[in-house]
Amino acid sequence: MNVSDLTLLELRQRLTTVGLCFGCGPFRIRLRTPVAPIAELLHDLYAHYPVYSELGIDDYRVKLDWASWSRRWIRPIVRFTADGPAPFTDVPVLRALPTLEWGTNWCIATRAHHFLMLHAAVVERNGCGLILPALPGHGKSTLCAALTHSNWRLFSDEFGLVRPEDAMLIPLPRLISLKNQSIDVIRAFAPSAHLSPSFYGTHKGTVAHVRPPLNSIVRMNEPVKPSLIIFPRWQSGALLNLESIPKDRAFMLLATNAFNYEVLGELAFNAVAKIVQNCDSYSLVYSDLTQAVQAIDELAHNAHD
Amino acid sequence: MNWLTMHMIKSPAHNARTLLINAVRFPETLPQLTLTDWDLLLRIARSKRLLGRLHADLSRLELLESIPTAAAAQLQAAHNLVHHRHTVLTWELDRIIWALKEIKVPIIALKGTAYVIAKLPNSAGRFFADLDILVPISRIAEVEQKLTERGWLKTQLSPYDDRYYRLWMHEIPPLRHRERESEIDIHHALLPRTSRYGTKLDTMMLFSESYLIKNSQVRVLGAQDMVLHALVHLLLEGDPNEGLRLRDLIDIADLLCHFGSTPKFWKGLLLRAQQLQLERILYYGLRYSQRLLAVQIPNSVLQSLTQSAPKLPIRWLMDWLMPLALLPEHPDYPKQMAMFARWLLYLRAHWLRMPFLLLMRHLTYKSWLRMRRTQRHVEIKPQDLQQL
Amino acid sequence: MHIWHLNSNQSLRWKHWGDQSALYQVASGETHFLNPLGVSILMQIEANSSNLDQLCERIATEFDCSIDDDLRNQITASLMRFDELGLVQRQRNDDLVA
Repeated sequence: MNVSDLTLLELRQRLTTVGLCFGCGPFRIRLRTPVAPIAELLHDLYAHYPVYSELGIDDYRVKLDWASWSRRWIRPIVRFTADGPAPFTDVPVLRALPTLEWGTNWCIATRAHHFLMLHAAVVERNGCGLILPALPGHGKSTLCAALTHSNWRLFSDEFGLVRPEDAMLIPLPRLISLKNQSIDVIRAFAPSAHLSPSFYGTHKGTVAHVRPPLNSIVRMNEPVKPSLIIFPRWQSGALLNLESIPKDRAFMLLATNAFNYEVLGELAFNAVAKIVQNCDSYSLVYSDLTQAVQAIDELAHNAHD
Repeated sequence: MNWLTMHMIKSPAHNARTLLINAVRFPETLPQLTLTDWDLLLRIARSKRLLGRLHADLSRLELLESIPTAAAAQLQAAHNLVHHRHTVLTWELDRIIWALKEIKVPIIALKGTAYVIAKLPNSAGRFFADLDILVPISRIAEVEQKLTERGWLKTQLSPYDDRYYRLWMHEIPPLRHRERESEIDIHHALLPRTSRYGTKLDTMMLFSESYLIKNSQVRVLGAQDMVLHALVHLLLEGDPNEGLRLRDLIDIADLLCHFGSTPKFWKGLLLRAQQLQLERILYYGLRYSQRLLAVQIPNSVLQSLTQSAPKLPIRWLMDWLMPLALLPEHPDYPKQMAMFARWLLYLRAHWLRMPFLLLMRHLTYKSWLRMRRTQRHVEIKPQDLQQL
Repeated sequence: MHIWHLNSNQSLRWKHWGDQSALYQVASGETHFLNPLGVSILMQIEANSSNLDQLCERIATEFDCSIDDDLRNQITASLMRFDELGLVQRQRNDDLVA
């Protein structure tokens, strides 16, 4: 059963009582919230996630609560918690969804040390695992959203989850978070993309979330071997430029940009080494999304041959 | 069965406590837990920072394959983090030895790092945040000087805090190497100068009982002093939110079991507590290790400590407060009373460490800082990712 | 003159790509990225404890260059850094005899 199989009423009822327990990649997440306005958004954006009803062990228990009863009706604010003290500042209810997404990512990043977590988007096509590591603002999420709507399967736009034992990439198809001008860029590039409304004034500016396509959630238990690493950078008006990156440099960039490289020590060292050994690495500067996707398609085609 | 016991048995808090204490005491029974029990146990163990401990026990018993995969995954994550902390802290200690090589100063590793390098049973899976070392007070300026020359940086403190540290505390403001994350606390005594207990505690006595770790230039406290220091840490160094830490009591229980098999240990412990004026602390420590973690303590030892017990109403109060503050609550049913108990014991710890006037000044200054503090804005940075 | 040798009980894990290398230091959990000179110095010491003269000689042979002040200074600077990182340690000749 998926979230879309629940009626809105049933979803609300779960959210306010035992919680909505759903699967995202290897994790089982339980979400509870009395904040009614968010249920509709979740019904739409979480539609394809499987609902778990059987007894089991939750990986993350997240909660979005009204922060203050006195401010329940006038400019209401909400608080994110995950079985402990609130990690962030309370936010206005209008920004509840970005906070929930951000908070859940924070839980994963601070706890999932049985994986190596690269700070990267990951997609797959025809068995070719593509890692897109990038600094914030370099357009990794935009490119990831574009590829996801061009026959690539979404693994994640934020967490390159790597199983340290064999360096396989593990899907974690959470909502893709787009910022500022990327929102319109993706609307224009992929009219079929399913976007949330825009949320204004978050600490990252305007944010909108893209729902992962059904296929990427149905296949979220299928890992893939990494074959290609591309370091993308969007630059206004730039001509498409693709350059090969030597392995030592790719190693350094991947390792220093990971969430928990240090925590995993030698496991991480070996996993990253294995990844760069198996992958061709490139840097990609682009301004036109269509050209970039085309160039990546060609690389993937060659990498797989 | 009367109403009260009925109520206790059914209460969610009771259930949570039993689950965690049994997991720590009888890890071999963990494979029998249901999924629902595991779900709850993992939540409680995480809040008490004991996930690494469960992993270490199960790994030793070769039972990691006999528990649900989802539980094993969470324990593996905790293990990876703990292993990393152990590496980082022992390495920091190694670098300190390197930096201080020329000045030939004796160094005692305290708390976590000591347990790790002395390979004591409680170090397995134990999470540690900082590195603590003890050096003779006469050498402390020299040590601080040398470390700052060799790449360690002093913490930037407000003049108030810096003065507070240097005047009243038993350690200097923490140092941190410019290229690494770990904070090091350099102590010259085990208790603040203002403390009500242990004022006879001469640091040089600790050095004479300490011993060198094999193939290393670091010392650790003698068995009795190590236990007494763990007790001081548990009972006099609280944290208002977390309260007394169950993992600190578990350290004590493990140390008592480990050293307690040597016949001379207990006699020495009583004698040492007397020398250092820590009998009351020892009384509490043994009482709650026995009550909450069922540690075997010779009757003769308990009897000779009865004279160090507090008066009856205080004893009742402590018997009520200590379990409340130390044992876990059910995460879905937090109790105001437990929070109150933690706060009271925190105040008590401060009270015992500082004279009243100084305490008032310190607490008001601190609460003013807290009120004044601007709202937090959190970005995920690698160094934040070690919360678990 | 000092003898340089690998810091006691060190395990080093190497990955080489062309002339660049990454080194994982098990004891510290740190990863170091080294240039060819750094790699060569460390691998020489890993194989045999040596003094500065011996090192200069071997490195000069390996890189096919002459032993001049520049090379000596570069090697000395690398050794100092490796010492700080705890990769190598130095011992006086007479310490060894004693």
